[in-house]
Amino acid sequence: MTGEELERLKRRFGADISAWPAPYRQEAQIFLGEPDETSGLGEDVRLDRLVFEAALMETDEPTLTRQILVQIDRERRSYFGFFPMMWSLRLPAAVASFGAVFIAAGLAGYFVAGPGYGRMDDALLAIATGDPIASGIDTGLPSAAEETFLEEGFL
Amino acid sequence: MSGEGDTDDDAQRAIGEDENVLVRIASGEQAALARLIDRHGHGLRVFAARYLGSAADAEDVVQDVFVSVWKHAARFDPVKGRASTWLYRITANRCIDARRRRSLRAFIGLDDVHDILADEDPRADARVGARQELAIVRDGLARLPERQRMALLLRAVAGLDVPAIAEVMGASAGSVEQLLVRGRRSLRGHLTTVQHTNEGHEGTSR
Repeated sequence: MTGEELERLKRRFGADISAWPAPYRQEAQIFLGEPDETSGLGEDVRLDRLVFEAALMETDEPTLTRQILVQIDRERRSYFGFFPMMWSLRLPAAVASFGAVFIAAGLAGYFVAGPGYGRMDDALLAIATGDPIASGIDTGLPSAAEETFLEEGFL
Repeated sequence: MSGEGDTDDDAQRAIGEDENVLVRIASGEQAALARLIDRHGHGLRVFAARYLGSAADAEDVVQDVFVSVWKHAARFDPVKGRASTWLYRITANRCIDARRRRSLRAFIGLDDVHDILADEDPRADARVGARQELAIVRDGLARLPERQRMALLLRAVAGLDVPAIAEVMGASAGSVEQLLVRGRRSLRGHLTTVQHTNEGHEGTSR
């Protein structure tokens, strides 16, 4: 910091340096050689000041302000900006939409797969009982009817 | 005694100005938002840039913070803490989100991990580079664990005291003190190691 910068900051934030926002306050205190009353004493203060000085970088507040105001203006012009009530309804609307999609998917699934339930049940039962005719799966073993014929000597 | 009283009054005045500005922002006054950016934009941006290690990410975060303040200024409760503490809390949360997003993008291969201020103003680098000790501190700061780095930056850059840092980080005062102690110890260790190494190099080059 230079004396000129200090004067500029005084015009910007007032003559009272302790009322300045951080990090301008610390910068001015370092420039003027004032102690930082909020911190302890000794090595920690020295290290904190090193961290502070190492962290400093150039920033451009007028450009930042302009960019933020443009962004706010853009958001205001957006759809929800025209309907402020819609903003508060966003979450309920999202939940309701999700629920509707979920129910629609369930109904669609039922109508698509529903008519096949009887056949599916039969197939599952046949698999469970090991009936290759009903299940359509050839296990290579004789069926229950064939076993009866074998036992009675017809085959 | 009177000096201390004056300092307290001055501090109260500063706190009062920020609160007053937030009330005006809540009523939709854009000039008040510009004033808040003028007062705190620099500090928030420096804090975010050093925490994230990227000036571009910090710019996005700070823009997002002020847009959020514009929308939700009425939510600020002066009973719960200072306006500056509230602003740094929002920024800290946004920084954590940004870091998580970046980690995720790096994990799925959308982003290269570059944790340096590559896109920073080169004049700043040159200025800091002129003082080797500051360059080493910056390097050490970037190597610290995230929470230690955040605590140290909130202390050094934002000028917050331990209770305010605890409020920003959502931690207890005790754990913030621990973070500060560990962070400072690591930084001192880094400074000592690098300086010894540099001295060794200089000794051998002679």
